[in-house]
Amino acid sequence: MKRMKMPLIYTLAFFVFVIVFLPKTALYYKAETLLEPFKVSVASETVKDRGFDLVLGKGALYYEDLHVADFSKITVTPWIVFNRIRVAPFVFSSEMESFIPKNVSSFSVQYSLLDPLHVIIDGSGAFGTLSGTVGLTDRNITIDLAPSVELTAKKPFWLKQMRRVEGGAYRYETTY
Amino acid sequence: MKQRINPLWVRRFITLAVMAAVVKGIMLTAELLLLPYKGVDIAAAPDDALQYTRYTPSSVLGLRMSEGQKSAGTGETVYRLESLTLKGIYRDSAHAFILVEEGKKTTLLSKGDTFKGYTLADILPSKAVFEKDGRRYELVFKENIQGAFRGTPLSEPVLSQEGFTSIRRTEVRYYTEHFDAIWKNIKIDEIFKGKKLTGFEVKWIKRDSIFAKMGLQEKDIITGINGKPVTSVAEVLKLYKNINQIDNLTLVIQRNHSERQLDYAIYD
Repeated sequence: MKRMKMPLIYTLAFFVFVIVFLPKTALYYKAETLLEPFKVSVASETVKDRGFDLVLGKGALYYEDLHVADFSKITVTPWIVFNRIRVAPFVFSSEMESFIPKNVSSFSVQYSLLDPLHVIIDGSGAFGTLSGTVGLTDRNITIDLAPSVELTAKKPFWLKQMRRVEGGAYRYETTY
Repeated sequence: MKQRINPLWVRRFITLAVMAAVVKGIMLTAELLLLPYKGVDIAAAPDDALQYTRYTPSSVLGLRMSEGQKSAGTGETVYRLESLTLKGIYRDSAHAFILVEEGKKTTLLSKGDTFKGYTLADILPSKAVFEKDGRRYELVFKENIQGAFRGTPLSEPVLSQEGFTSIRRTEVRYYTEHFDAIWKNIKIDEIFKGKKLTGFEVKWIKRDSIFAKMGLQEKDIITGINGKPVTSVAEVLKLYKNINQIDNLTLVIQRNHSERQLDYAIYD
């Protein structure tokens, strides 16, 4: 066991160095260029590499020039074995107010080597709660939404496009 | 002399430092060679408005004279009409219409139309010219100091004539503020070709609703808005967002396998 101690420390140190020296800001810029063809963009944000994570502060999310939401903080945790993008909190723009309740308390997308074939999506807010998975081998996306009373009262058109499943939730399924 | 620092720990520290330097070097090389050094800038949103020109009272300074008075400055004798109120002029390269109000009745006229014995002879940027019994009559905007329209609101929220429809802005504003009201009057479904959105089909439309008055019918497929094909819900949301700012709207629809265009003017 004693002989294993130093190799373990070196391996751990190697991963720590990789995480700390990962060019997170440049990777974020790369992610922006990858999102550009999908017409998703982030504007007015501040980018701060904090060593173990990357924090995007106070920005706006756009889809095809449409102002979708304002966020106060997005934390990107690229720990190789556990990766997470957490947006909390954020507010849908006034343009979206007719379609969805404004305030979202948290939204996260995470990928862990413990479940290497799926990306996990979670969120909660005035709209209700949502949970979903992205199948990396099946290339499918499944999101279950348990709408809040406020969202149900708004009767947004997009809710009608989703399939009702057991427990009163609505399911969105697609492939990519 | 007794050694104060254990050489084993020095060796381990140097190993870790070298490891850190190598990792940093690899990351730096990758950053310089493979990754961008700046993010994506958002381009300015394109204008959704059509290239129509709407001449509002604020852009002109019409003289107000009573019917029968001569217009100054031209060799020809031109009289002024005050029995009618000019509410709007809509012109593009292919069309020209005016919206006139008499009492509480509003009528849309195009060149050549006759109204109360007056034939609309010409539509100019700031006025309309009528003819009657060989005399020429001008109809100009009535305006207040701020340049807004004066007079009572029109009784009809939607006016349709000769394929051109005018919608009162208050009506449009109502639907932007009461989104649910839209779905009480119309049901639409997205139409996809493969995974690509190609239009919206009108599945149901309430009789006498604003949408019916706008000339939409069940089974119509809206394929374009303001000269742009409908390719995403975001495009429609963008229009919805800006609808209070635009004066003109064009819908391209497919009806019975043929394409047609519906033109709308939104007036104050």
